[in-house]
Amino acid sequence: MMRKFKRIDLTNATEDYFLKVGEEAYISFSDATQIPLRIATEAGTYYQLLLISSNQGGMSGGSGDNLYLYPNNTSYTNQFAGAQITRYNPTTGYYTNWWTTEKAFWLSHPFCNGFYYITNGAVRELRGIVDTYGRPTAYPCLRLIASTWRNNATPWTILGTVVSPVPISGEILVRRLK
Amino acid sequence: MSIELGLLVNIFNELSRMGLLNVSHISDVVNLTGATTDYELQVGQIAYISFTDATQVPLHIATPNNSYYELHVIPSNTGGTSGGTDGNVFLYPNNTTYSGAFYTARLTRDGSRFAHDCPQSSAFIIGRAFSAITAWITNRTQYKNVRALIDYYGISNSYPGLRAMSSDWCDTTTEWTSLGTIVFPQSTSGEILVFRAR
Repeated sequence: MMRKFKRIDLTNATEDYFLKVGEEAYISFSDATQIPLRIATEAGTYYQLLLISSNQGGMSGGSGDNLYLYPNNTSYTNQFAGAQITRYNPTTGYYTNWWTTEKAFWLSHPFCNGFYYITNGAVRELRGIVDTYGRPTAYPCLRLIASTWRNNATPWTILGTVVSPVPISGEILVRRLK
Repeated sequence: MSIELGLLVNIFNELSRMGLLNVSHISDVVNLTGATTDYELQVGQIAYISFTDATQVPLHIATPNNSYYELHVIPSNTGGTSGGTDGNVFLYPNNTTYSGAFYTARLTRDGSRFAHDCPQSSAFIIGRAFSAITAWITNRTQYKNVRALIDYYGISNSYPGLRAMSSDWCDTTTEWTSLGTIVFPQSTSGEILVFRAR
């Protein structure tokens, strides 16, 4: 959304902050494999997350291993599923798609630049459109993503931690829309 | 004593930039739950609509030519692979249908397969079964389009079901004056946000 948001800088936060509707959390990170968002959440909330990568463009330095959002800053074996549709760069010239069980919300592979919408309620899910790069098959690599927490029993109280298999740099904006 | 309006605006903006004046919450949300007449959102405003066990939700938003919106449908039906009906979620522009006037290009990946198609319909297709939906709406009389990214559930092989789509109203003369009514294939509960960007 292009509305005006009140920015809350959580870059060096040590405690979770409960983001209010109309507020935007800002988190800057450098060469990190774990990026705790430090955002408290509850059922009935809805967010937009922008992942703005600052890693240099190219076909190396990234990873084919998964980039995740760990809700509550932890993983839950096989409680999640992710679906994606991908078109790789011209050197490979092909597309792929899959649907797999996961241990957390699947965001793509690093490096990754894009946006997601996140629902925390009776259904817990995220949807996104990203560009993945830093791999021989990517730069660009268009990816459509949906990821769902297929367990309704565990409360989701902390938005979570972005976990990367390789160090990544950039900024994250989390806007609470509802 | 008189102060130029431009100077006042500059002071206002500077105070806002410094965080000394928070204007982010001032009257930008319009609650249209239970509205009975159409309201024309202004650029920057957000409409909010709550609904319970509904198959049709009129948005009650008047829309002028050359406007643009972001739509969010946030369902509150419990996640799972049952309870839904495997049918489309539609947006009926002007609260009605236009026989065969719409085509929707779709890419889908769910628990069973990848699919692509482009069905003809009588309204914009914006979802399936229970859907978390983000959509972008262009209203120009000569070009009327809704693009959507959805995660659907409540039917087999979903939860998640990923679908991206672009739906065109293949008519260049009919005016789109009321944003319309969202029509679900089963009783649905949740909330809707509509942000007017242009």
